[in-house]
Amino acid sequence: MARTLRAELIKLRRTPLVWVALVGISLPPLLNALLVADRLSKGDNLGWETALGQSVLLSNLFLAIGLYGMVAVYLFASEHTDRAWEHLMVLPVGRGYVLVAKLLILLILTAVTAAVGFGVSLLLGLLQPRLPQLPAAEAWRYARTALTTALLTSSLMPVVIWITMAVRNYIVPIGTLIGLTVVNVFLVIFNADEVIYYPWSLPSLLAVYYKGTTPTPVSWVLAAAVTVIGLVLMRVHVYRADQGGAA
Amino acid sequence: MPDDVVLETLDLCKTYGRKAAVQELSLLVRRGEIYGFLGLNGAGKTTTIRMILGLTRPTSGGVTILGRRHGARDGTVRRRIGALTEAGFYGNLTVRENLEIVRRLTGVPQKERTDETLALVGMASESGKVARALSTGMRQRLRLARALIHEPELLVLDEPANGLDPTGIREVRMLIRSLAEEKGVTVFMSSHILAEVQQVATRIGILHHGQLLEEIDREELQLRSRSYLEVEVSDTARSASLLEQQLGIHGFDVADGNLLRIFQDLDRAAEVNASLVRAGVSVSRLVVRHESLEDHFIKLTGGEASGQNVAG
Repeated sequence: MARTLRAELIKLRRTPLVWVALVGISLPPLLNALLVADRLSKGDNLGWETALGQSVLLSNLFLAIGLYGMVAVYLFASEHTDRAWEHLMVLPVGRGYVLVAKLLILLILTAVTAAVGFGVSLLLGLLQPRLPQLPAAEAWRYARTALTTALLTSSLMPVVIWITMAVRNYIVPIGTLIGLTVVNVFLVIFNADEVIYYPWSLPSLLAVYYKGTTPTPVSWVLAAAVTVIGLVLMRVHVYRADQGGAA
Repeated sequence: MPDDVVLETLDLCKTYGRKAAVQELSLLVRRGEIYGFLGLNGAGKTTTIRMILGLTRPTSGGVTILGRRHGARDGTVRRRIGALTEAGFYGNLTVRENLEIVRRLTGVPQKERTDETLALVGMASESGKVARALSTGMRQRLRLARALIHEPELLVLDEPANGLDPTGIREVRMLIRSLAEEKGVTVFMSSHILAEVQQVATRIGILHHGQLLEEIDREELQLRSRSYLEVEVSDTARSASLLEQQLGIHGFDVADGNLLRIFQDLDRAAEVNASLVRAGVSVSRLVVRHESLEDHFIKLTGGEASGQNVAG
């Protein structure tokens, strides 16, 4: 497993993916910092809930599905656009190991990206002179939320990965990610009743700043089901190496 | 399955819908052999190789590799196989990085093996180049490097000469030969280029429309590839006796109709002609011919080969 993971890490060299993710995750904190600075200059009494919590929510609401989804899509689609997957399949490495290694890389990249996004939010907040002092416990709470919601978003991606593997291109999965994001934004902003049944809204519902509907056990069950179904579809697809090519 | 048999296919079939790509293909490759798998484009070579490598599941029949019934679907067998297919590379990575991935995944601990393999395929100076910037020929060399890095016992090469310039083709041919002769590597290579297969293979299987038409070994190939004097005469019996008794020529046969094929002393064509005429045998045609594998191949495939690039 370790050698498969190392091989997957080598594949990330010279890809724009990491930089795109890091720049992308910094945009919501920048936007939020501008909004906070504007309101502070008008005399509004704001706390870290707005400086950090709102930033985490903005990332989850508008960016997370697209960004982490793109990382997931790239990790798998690049094997097909480069036509390297076929050679991978003749090497003495388990197909399951390759899938697990790629999913681990996705989670690692997600964690790093989320940490950088939170770091940018924190830094920009600390640069605001009118914000009160930040208690360490509160900072830790926001950091944990940023990390867990990001990882949760990535763990909802196997279905999109399966679509990527099936169609072997970027267009359909990117379209899917846009669709998932639009529905999430719509349900969360309008606080629709159906939001608890939409798995890709779960990270937004968990964002501390969000004051709308609370996720129910059904929300968790549905999210888990989407993840499991995606993983099963991926596995079946990879093992069905027939009829015109290795998965 | 005897110990010296490295690869065996038994009644291997693959159908796509109603089209049979490969039909009841049974072949056997022994240790140290270079098996040339020859066929026109679309004959079923790549499908067969994909089945051997476990990339495509046979409709029926089976593949046994290195004594294992499941062939390349078995991970321990894959470790002992090197494969060259049309598969691509990670375009953003350098030649060395592409090979490093394969080294790690094939479990080769020695880091120096990457450089050794690059030198072996003549790519040492290209190691820092990004794969997407490589020429077609260099890509093919990198494919070969990927197949060789873990020093496999069996090499399965799908059209290894594709995209190579004449120097590259020669180098690859010499490399394949030295791997087989010096290291005992067994090679199964497909090609649609007759000349290429003829020069390197110790045995050739001719595939046409998914069926194995014939298998020829090197000795038979040499016999088939020789020149001969074709003489059309009025009386073959008299001519045969004259050749043996008067001219001391024994290396000939009587072909269809009134044709004699003389395989020795081709420089005595004028003398043969004069002797036959003097003996009252009329000679209507006398010509030096060379039957190559190409001629044989065209005959076997019913002339279809003449329309495709099989001559090399």
